[in-house]
Amino acid sequence: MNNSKKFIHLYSKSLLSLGLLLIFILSLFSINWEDKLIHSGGKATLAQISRAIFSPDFSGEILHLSFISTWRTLVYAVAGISLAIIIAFIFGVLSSGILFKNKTTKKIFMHIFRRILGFMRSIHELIWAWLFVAALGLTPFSAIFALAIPYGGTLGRIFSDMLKDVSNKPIEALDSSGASNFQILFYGYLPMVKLDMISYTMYRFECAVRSSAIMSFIGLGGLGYQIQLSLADLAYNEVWTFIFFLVSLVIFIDLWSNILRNILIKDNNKSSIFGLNFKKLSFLLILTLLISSWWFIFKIEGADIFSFFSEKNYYYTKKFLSELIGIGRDDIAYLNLFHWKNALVLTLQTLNMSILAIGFSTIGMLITVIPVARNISDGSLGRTAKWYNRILFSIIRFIYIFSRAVPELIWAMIVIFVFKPGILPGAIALALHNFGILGKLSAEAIEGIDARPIKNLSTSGANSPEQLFYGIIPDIMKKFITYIIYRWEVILRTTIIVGFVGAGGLGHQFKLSMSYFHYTEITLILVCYILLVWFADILSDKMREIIK
Amino acid sequence: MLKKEIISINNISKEFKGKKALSSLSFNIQKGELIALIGSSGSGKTTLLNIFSSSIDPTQGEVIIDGKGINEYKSNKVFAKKVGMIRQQFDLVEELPVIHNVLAGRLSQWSTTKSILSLLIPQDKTLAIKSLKRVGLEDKLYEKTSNLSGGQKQRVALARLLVQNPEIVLADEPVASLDPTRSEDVLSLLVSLAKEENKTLITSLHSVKYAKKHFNRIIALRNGKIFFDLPTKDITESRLEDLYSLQELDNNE
Amino acid sequence: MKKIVTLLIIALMVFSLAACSNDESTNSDDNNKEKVFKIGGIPDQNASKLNRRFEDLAKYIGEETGLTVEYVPTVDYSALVTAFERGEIHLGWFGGLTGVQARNVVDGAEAIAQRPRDEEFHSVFIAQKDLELKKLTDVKGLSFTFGSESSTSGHLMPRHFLIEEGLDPKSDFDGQVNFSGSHDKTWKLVESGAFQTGALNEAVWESAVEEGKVDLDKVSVFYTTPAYYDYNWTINNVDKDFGKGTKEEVKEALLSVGEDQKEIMELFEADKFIETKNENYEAIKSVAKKLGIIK
Repeated sequence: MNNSKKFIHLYSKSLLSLGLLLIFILSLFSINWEDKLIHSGGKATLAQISRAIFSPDFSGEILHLSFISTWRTLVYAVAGISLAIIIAFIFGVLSSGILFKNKTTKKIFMHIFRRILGFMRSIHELIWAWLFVAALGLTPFSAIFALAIPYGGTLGRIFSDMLKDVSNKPIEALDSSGASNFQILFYGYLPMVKLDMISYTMYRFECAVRSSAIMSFIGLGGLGYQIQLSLADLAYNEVWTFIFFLVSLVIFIDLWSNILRNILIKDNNKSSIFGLNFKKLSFLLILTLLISSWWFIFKIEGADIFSFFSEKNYYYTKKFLSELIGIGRDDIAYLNLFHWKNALVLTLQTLNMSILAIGFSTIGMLITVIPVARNISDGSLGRTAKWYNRILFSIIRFIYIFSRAVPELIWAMIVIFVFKPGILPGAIALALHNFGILGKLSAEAIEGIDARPIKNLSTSGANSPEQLFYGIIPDIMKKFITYIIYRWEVILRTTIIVGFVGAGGLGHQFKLSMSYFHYTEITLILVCYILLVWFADILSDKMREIIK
Repeated sequence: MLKKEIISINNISKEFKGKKALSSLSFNIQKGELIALIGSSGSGKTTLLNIFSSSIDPTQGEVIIDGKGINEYKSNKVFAKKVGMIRQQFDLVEELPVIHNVLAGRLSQWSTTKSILSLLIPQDKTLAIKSLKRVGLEDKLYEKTSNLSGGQKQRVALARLLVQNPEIVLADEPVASLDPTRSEDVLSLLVSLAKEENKTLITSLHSVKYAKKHFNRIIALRNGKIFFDLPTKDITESRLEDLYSLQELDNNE
Repeated sequence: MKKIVTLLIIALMVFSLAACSNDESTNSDDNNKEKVFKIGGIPDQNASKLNRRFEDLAKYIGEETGLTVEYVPTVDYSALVTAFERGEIHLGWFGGLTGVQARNVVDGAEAIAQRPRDEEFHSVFIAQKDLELKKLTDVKGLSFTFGSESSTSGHLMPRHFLIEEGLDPKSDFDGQVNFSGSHDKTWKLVESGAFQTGALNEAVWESAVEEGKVDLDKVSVFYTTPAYYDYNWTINNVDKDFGKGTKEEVKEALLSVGEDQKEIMELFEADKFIETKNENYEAIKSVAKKLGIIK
């Protein structure tokens, strides 16, 4: 008995990987591979789409449209994330429990606010958007709130974890000097977590730009809207132009936040661009963006705080909610066994899609990650650097950033041209977006390997494959599995979105029910979706515990 | 028993980016000698050990290991049977269980397939248990290495060395990050194991006290040159004072 | 130096704002000084055509009635219905089904006008030419795409006639049923080879053929459905907001579109608008009910 326990403990990571692999293989069986999975003309379409990459439409009109749409996308991202930071700060502080000295109050507050934050981020921003449009109408606020809530939830959770992890000694010192809880927050906690907060927020800002781009689905005209229109006209050349603009915007933010993070970590005040202090420049840029974005939203987009709190909105919100609950209706879907059965089948399909997606992403990552790790490509991790390593390194790094800069939904809209509707195109679209992220994280994990044990294995007589199995794999496996589990959670949340464009699962049914105004069905789908996300949270927590 | 020269170096120098780390060192080491390398940090101890372990090549000069030039050892598997190295506690793979870290010492004997199979079904398990017993850690066979204390990790590294069973054991500051009791513990274990099997042991040390207590020959380095090379019994306090005081003067130049 | 760069950045920002502000006047909310009469239409065709069509018509209605009329584009059929329900759209160009949905949620909303062809509207089933399909049941086993989920001529009625012929859209096609999103996209997908067959609005098909956009060597019509009522102008309770008689005025304006507004009507693939009433759409309503789309 003790022996088998020991065995499981000893090989927990290998066993877990094996289990995950089995589940992935099992999920492959859910697709009928005998069937032709690609449209009869899918290959030709794929060729057309791929050819168009090399001849994007750079005519004056399209460029003008691109600039405007890029600006709009950026404006909404800035507005959304700035609101998210405020939400995250308040909820994060409250849920970290640092404001309370009494143990019971602390526990209750932490519990309640953690749950709220969890709920906020468990629902995808596009679903929030749809709900807000139904309740508030097509105002800029619908989009901004739809961004602010899930991002507030994610940032808030991270802020709260950062605050809880703050080292105790300086805090105790402040406490004993008689500082109030609020003073401790501002003089003790905040200065210590400032750096991490900024760098994580910058990373989230990059994601918000992508989310803002797909807000077009509720009628916000950004880059996603243009991509959607061009796809509807099968004008692939235009599609790529807009995608290139989106990718450039993401790359710009990525570079900027990388530089800023490095400067902040090294506390280097002297870095400059064009003779301007980079820190000051960043601050100025952020300030300009904030002011001009909100100005744009209020002045040009005509957002109006007062009409937002109008009686009309109150009336429609109430109406919308009561329709979701199904007040006064006798055909309430969530009380109907038949509907439940249907929804559960779709839920399983959605789960299946997420497993396929993470499986494909992992395969893509494993194939590409080795040449992308800096310490392997420059030969510092034992192997000799070959001339082609550098080229391979740059190409794959570019593919990584390109694939992750394009949101899942847009990948799905493109993939659906080639594959027949169903969960496979959805899984492929999700995988296209996520393998870049997974690849980047995993490459960084390899770069972080401690070279000393590996060198020592070499002195003990290990050849390259032996070094891989004894030194490199045990070191990175835990990180890889952690990343894969984490990405899987994110993917599951997004499966509902790719369903909108015909990729099956709960998302497709959600779109249909929305089109037919079957509100109680929407409630049922949302319940299933939230249960699924909740289940995934618990499961991934368990898996993380196993490999600890 | 006839004395046998197991290591001999002839006029070796090493430069790192134009900076001299070692300059024109020559000496011989007999089989079974217990040698301590002393000198303050930057004096070239680690560079010298790394040259012996063939991790780096000297810029100049030749190194003969057991009658053969060091570069004539084509495969690191053959070389691993001649020379084994133990560094600070960082040379273990933290995520592997103790048994695999110990059995990594067998990699020089095993084929690649066998080594990978061993990760699933440990091979030569009795050997691992035997050597862990000798370092007093037989109960930690399946423990994850990262859960061990610094001293325990160092003893696991010793157990790996026992399994690898090289003729020459190099140790680079093996006790630098341990507290005094643990240091004493690990050092005496290292020396007694070397003595029992008539191995040649070359250890770099910070502490002159340990060097004098456990080793029979001490080589002192300063700025990449040999400051003295004497049997332990001939070392006087004034010599040692010279080594370290001169050092300070040099640094002030 | 520093100041110059700072100025440059700010100048860039202001410039980009100014560049955008020209184009963004459409979204402003309804508490501008004067009340704006907003019209909308379902996004069933490509956006540039819809923009021209409705913007020109908005101008015309404005001239006829003295109201400030504005066209609000939407991306989604159901979004237009929702906006109509909230009173944010006063006059909507709906399909048969979306019109029924809209009038369902707004008491007193009325279908007031339509094109002559909407009295006897048809959907066409198209297929890749080399398949040589003859009758509706031939689509069995082939890949198929509808238009938008909420479209009458691109989904509801084609589905209805498929079922009448004993076909089950769920299981009788190759792969899951697809929703392309718009009529134009439906024929483009069949032409490009992405799908073998599809169903769409006859008017859109005819105008695409007339304009020579479709490659008739690749796609052709193999079945036309029986007639049904489709597109219509449905008006909200506007008398409350814009004064008594507004509804009549707008209706008059629509019905008076004629020879002189040929360019506008060409964009609607017709020559005039005629009167219609809510009762005309009872048949569509019952089909939608039968298919479980309306409850």
